[in-house]
Amino acid sequence: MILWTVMPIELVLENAQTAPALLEVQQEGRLLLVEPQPGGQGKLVRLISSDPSDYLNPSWQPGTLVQLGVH
Amino acid sequence: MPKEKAFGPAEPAPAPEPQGPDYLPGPEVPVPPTPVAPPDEKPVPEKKTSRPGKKPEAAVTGNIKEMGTPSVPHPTSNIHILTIIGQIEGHLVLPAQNKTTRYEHIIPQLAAIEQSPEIEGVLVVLNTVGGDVEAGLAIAELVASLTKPSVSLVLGGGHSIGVPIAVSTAYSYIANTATMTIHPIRLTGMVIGVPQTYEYLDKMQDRVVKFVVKNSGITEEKYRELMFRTGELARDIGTVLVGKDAVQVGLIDEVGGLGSSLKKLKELIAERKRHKSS
Repeated sequence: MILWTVMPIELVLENAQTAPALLEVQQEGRLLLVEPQPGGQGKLVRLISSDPSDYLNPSWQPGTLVQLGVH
Repeated sequence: MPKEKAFGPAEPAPAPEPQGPDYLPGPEVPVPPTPVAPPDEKPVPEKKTSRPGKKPEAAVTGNIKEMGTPSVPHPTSNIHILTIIGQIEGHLVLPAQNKTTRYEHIIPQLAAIEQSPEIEGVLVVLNTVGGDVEAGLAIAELVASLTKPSVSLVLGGGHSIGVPIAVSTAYSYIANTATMTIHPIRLTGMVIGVPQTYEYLDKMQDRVVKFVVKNSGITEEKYRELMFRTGELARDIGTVLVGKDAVQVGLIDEVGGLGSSLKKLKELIAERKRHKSS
C-alpha cells in the first residue's frame, strides 16, 4: 500500500496498533461488519451485499448504529 | 389528577402498587374474579399516563445527533452527491483519529448510481488530504467511466490522490480558496533495493500522471514540472495550486461553487437527455 497524502505520516498512523475487534452480523439478509458499542449497539463499519442499491440506502451507511442481537 | 399520574410512570415501581393495596383483602378467596375486575377500571389511567409515542421522537433525535439533520432524505433527487473527505482509505484500515472515505463503500455506490434509473447525475465534492493510491485511482477510474454526467467541486483541499479524483468527472470546479497540492509519491518505511524501489515508485507515479493528463487539460510536462518544483513546500517538493491557479494550468475547468457546479450538472443532464431522444 502506498499512502500519498499531505498529512504527516506520523499523524496518520498514530495509534495504528489499536484496531477494534469487529463482529459479523446478519441483518435483513445483509452481512454487516460492526464495531460493538455500549448498550447492545454496534457501529456499522462495512456492508457486504451484492445489491448495489443497498449502498445508496442511508440506513446501511458506515457509521450508522445498529441494534445487535435483533435479526 | 392526570398531572399527578403523569409523574407516576417515570418510576416503574408505582404501577403495580395500586393493584396491591386496593385488592389485598380480595385475593384471599376469589382469586380469578378480582384480577379481572380491576383491570377494567385501572388500565384507563395507566394507559393515559404511559409515554405518548416516544419512539418516532427518538429516531428524529438520533438523526440530528448522527447526521445533523432531523430526517435523512431518501434518494428522490435525480442527483447523487458523493463526498470524498479526509483520507481515502485503501487496503489498510487507518487508525480511528483519521476521517476516512471508504473505497469499498464508494465503489458499489458508483455501480448503483450507474444502474439506478432515478439518478441522472453525480456531484463529487472533495475535501481530501489524499490517501491510498490504489483506492484513489480506483474511485477516479470508476467516476471517469460513468456514462451519466458528473461534475466535481474541490472545496478546501484536493491534495495528492485527490487530484485524479477531481479531474475524473466530465467537468470540474474549484472554490476560490481551495487548494490542490501536487507532489511526488513517496514510500515511507524500510526500502529494500533502491533501484527497484525507485522504478516501482516511478511506475506508480506514471499511472497517476497519465490519468490526470488524460482527464484534464494539463500537459504531462507541466504536471511533472509542478510536481518536482522546489522552494514552494516546506516538507516536500511540489506545488500548491490555489483556486484559479489550478484553472490556469488546465487541471480544473473553472472556478466556482455549489451553485455553478449544480447548474452545470443540470445542463449536462439536459444535454444527455436531448442526445438520447434525438
